[in-house]
Amino acid sequence: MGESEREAIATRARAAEAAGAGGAFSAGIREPIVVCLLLAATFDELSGNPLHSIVLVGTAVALSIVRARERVTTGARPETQWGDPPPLLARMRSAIDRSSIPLLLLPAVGLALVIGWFDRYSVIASLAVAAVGVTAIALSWHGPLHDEPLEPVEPVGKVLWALVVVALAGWELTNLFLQPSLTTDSWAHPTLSVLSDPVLGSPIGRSLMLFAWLRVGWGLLRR
Amino acid sequence: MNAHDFTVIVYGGIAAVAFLLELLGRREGSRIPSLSTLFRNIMRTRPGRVGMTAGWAWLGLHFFAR
Repeated sequence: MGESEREAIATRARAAEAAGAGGAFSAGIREPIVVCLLLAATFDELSGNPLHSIVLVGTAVALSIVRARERVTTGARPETQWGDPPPLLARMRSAIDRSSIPLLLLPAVGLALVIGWFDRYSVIASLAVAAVGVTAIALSWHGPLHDEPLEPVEPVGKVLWALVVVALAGWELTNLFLQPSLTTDSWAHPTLSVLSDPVLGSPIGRSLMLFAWLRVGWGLLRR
Repeated sequence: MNAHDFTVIVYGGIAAVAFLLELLGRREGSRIPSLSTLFRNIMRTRPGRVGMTAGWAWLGLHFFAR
């Protein structure tokens, strides 16, 4: 066994050790995205949405484990190592990369119509949306579908957009806490989901919004 | 104006500010990035990319699933 091979095995062993509960926790709390996912999961659990929490916590834990490994293999603040996706994901990524809007229109419209036809919050609709979401997260795990030049963003731009996000999240949380309880809607202090009830109450409204959601997801995957 | 109207107006105000930022971001030489440019920058790392996708998945779950 050569020196480099021994070093690679030792690095893998250190990475596996770092990915334990302590290492993953340490890496996770340094990632703002992981903290945001866990905060959102906490509020979702408090609001009685365990399925949402499972997806968010699962993603946060997986990210923490990978970051803990990356810290061992490439240093304290490593660049992301995207790695090769498994064959099935690789085929799906390739298909999405080669597809065009007209080609994806048919399955997206079909899916939106079928899921929208089921009652809102029904088991089938919930599982279908969760399956699409988890698949998209898996597809995004291994990086962009193709390299594109990156336009630099000035700090002032980031701050302005961050203020909008903080204002929206803060106002949503304010209305959530002004409800009679976290699981009881309020007409006087509606959250966004309460305001969307009239649109999402009909199959056509649900299908249209589901299609918009799928379109945004497709755009994110190709970004 | 009742509490419901005030709540809706604040949501609308936040949406209007976001729309204005997007318009400003699309101007030539703007220091404000468009949402598209901002997302591309956020998504250049795995936590950013996966976090954005998880946020999108959460939106779907929030509005359509329980």
